[in-house]
Amino acid sequence: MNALLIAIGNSLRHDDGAARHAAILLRASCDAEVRIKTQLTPETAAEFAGRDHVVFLDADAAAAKVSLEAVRDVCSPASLTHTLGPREVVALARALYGFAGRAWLCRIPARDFSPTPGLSPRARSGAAEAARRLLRLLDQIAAHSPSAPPGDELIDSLKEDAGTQGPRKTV
Amino acid sequence: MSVRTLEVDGRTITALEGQTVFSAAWDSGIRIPRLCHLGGLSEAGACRLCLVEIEGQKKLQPACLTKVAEDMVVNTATPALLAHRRLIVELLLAERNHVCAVCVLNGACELQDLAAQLGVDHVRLRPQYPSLPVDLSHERFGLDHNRCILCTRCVRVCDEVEGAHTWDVAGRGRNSRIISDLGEPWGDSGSCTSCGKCVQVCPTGALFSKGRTVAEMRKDRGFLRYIMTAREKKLWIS
Amino acid sequence: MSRRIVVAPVTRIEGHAKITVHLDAGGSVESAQFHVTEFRGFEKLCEGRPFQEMPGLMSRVCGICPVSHILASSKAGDMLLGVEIPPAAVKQRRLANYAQILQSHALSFFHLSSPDLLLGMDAAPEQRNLFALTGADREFLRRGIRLRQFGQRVIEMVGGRRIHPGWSGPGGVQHCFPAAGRDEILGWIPEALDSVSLALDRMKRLLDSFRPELDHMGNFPSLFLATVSPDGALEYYDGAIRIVDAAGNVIAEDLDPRRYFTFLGEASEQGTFMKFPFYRPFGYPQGHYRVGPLARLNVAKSAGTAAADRELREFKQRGQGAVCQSFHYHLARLVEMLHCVERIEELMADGELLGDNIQARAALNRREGVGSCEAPRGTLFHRYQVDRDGLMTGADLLIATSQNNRAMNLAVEQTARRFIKAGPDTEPAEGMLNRLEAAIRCYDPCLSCSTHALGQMPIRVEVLDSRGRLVSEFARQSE
Repeated sequence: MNALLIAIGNSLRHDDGAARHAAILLRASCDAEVRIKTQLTPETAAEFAGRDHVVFLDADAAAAKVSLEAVRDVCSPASLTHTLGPREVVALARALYGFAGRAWLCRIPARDFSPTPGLSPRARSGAAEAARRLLRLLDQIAAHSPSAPPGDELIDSLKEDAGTQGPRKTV
Repeated sequence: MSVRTLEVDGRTITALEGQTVFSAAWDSGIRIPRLCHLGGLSEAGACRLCLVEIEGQKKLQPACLTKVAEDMVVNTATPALLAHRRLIVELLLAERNHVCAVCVLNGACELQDLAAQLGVDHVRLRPQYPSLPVDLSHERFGLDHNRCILCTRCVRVCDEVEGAHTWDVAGRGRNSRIISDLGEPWGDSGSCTSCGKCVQVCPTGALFSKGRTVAEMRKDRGFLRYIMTAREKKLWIS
Repeated sequence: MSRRIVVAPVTRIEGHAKITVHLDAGGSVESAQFHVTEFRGFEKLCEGRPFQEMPGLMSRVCGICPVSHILASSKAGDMLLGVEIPPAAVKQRRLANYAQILQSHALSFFHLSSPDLLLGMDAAPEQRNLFALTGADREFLRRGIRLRQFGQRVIEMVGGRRIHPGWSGPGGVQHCFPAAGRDEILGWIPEALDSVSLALDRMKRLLDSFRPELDHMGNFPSLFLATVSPDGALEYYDGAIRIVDAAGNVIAEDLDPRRYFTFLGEASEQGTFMKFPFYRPFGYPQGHYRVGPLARLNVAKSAGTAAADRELREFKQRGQGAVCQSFHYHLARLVEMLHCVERIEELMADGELLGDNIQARAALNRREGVGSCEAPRGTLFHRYQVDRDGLMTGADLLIATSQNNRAMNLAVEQTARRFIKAGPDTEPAEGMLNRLEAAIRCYDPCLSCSTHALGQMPIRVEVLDSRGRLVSEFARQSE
């Protein structure tokens, strides 16, 4: 298993730090490489070269609950802004750096992005749940063949597995 | 002077009669966090970070003000104490406007270091964002009330070491402020000798040398020990 | 009755930017505007703070060009102190500025604009995909990312951190430049020169296929304003302001940037909070001017470095007097990148860069300080007022994106007139919408930082009928 986890967010913007919090929990309980970034940049794509799995974690105002989904590669590269999202970075990585693995996005529900540190209780529990979900994902990836990336059935099984099962490792 | 034996965090240590729990522990390598205590100055008990548990006593005691006693059993780092300390640091950070990112002392601040040491990676309390002034009237130094934690080290060093007593505390509770003389601008103070001791002992960027930019200032944390040793023991060693 | 088409990015937090195209009853373009909420708040935040803190605070204005704000702010601080800073500090600041322009331009050209350039404006959304690129194009884009990395690395070496470097302040800089860093930087130079040259060749060959865009996507006369060196060459850190007109005539020169508010005014227009800066002696709107890469190349007589000088001479052939096509901002950006790489190489051989006298110490000597520099997007001005103790009482920032405000509006309107062929009930074509964005992208405006937006600002298109009802709506980048 050759997985890279990328947590995106700014802990000084309140709930925007949820993914960072989840990343810290994950670092303590798994061996996968976890990187924390305030934002995605084009260079991020170069880090995907040779990876089988890339998982983004991000706080999301539009998410109602913790969700895990495949990142679609198709993107329109045109943008007026200087920000990049997971889809753009994955597309860049596939197009420019030969990334052929799977990419997921784990969204953590968040509401408050005011310029203060700290997390709302909701974002905090969301981060913990996200960490548990990702640990299970990593376990399931490891249970599959180490060489062949798991297919859509894994995603489907994870979708049904919406946090009802107890965590294998304590987070 | 007789020797006392006590237990701190499960270790048996010896101390001199009259010594505080804080300094006895410190001498034995047990570092109790503090922001207001500074060797060479009187104790203020202002920051409450050195609160410890003493067996047989219901209340927590500030180690800096508690004298050692024979067979005393002290715990300095129980989970409850660590939680209290984290909360105290969070209270300090929430009370005024501690913006490390633009602070002259970023990277060398005792409050910042302590927050990191205690694992304060966020503040659970609502920041108060008080509107506080900056006093740049002194020719060489500045006072930013936004970064003051009212430890009163400046008050004590000015009074006890320099002998000028320029600084004092005015107001109560959340309105407490460090003032120079009777509240005039620092630059107009008649008693200030511009010695700069207060600036060096200040644990945060509240007192700073003018002209320094972000993260550019470093304080001389050893000077007080040097001059106190010189004064008391006539030994000029650093 | 008229109809309104709104191209609006929707932020999830705050701030907005959008394009509004007004159609008349016949479906022809009546007018068009580009709106962006002007950034506010920083001026207020500064009040009551020591001016020494300003560079650290101002570096937070923008995550793309923190170096520009630090430089303008530091220079305003230098003026408040009344000092001339040591040569080593000047060289460090210059180095960081070249590196920042290089990395910012690399992002703009290779990352934001190359899909337009390589895939064409009319490509369908499903083809406007990086997979559509050929192998050679992929290498081309990888080189772009490496160029950006190079710029970031130089900034990191000077400033100690990749973003928000707090190394520079009133009176100079904080750290000596690490001598050991020179070899690493020199090691990057051949590849960087090669990449920029490749991009220049590629861009020049592409120009023929963008004839309609060159002619109709923001091709209009205007004044051009930029900083120049005493001999009239490209200058990014310190110099005098020169203004030329569309025919290339020098309208004004040797203007002191520290007195910018005496010759630059700001007009207001109905319907937007953003100001429209203009050259006072000409009034508004005749005095509207452009800044940034195109303006700098139009204003400068020479580049001052060998390869960039060759490119600049060739570039100047593309206009009668000044080059007026907004589309040429892309080419101008590449010429500037070449110049920046050459200047970075020069600075590596400059012993003064390593000097250890890096701070001029002084007390406050003035009550007002102005600092300016050439930021990637154009001339940047910071003007501070302080009280007798050095506490900020007022701040005024004139940023490049606002100075190009009217130009972006004109570009959008001209593009809309030429490329929108919508009938009263038809949806605008993809190519049209893309050109509207591309017209603005020529100026590489800093929208996300000027609006303080958090996260993405997807482009949403709303077609409203004459009564303001939503007829159709579609979004790009739906994340």
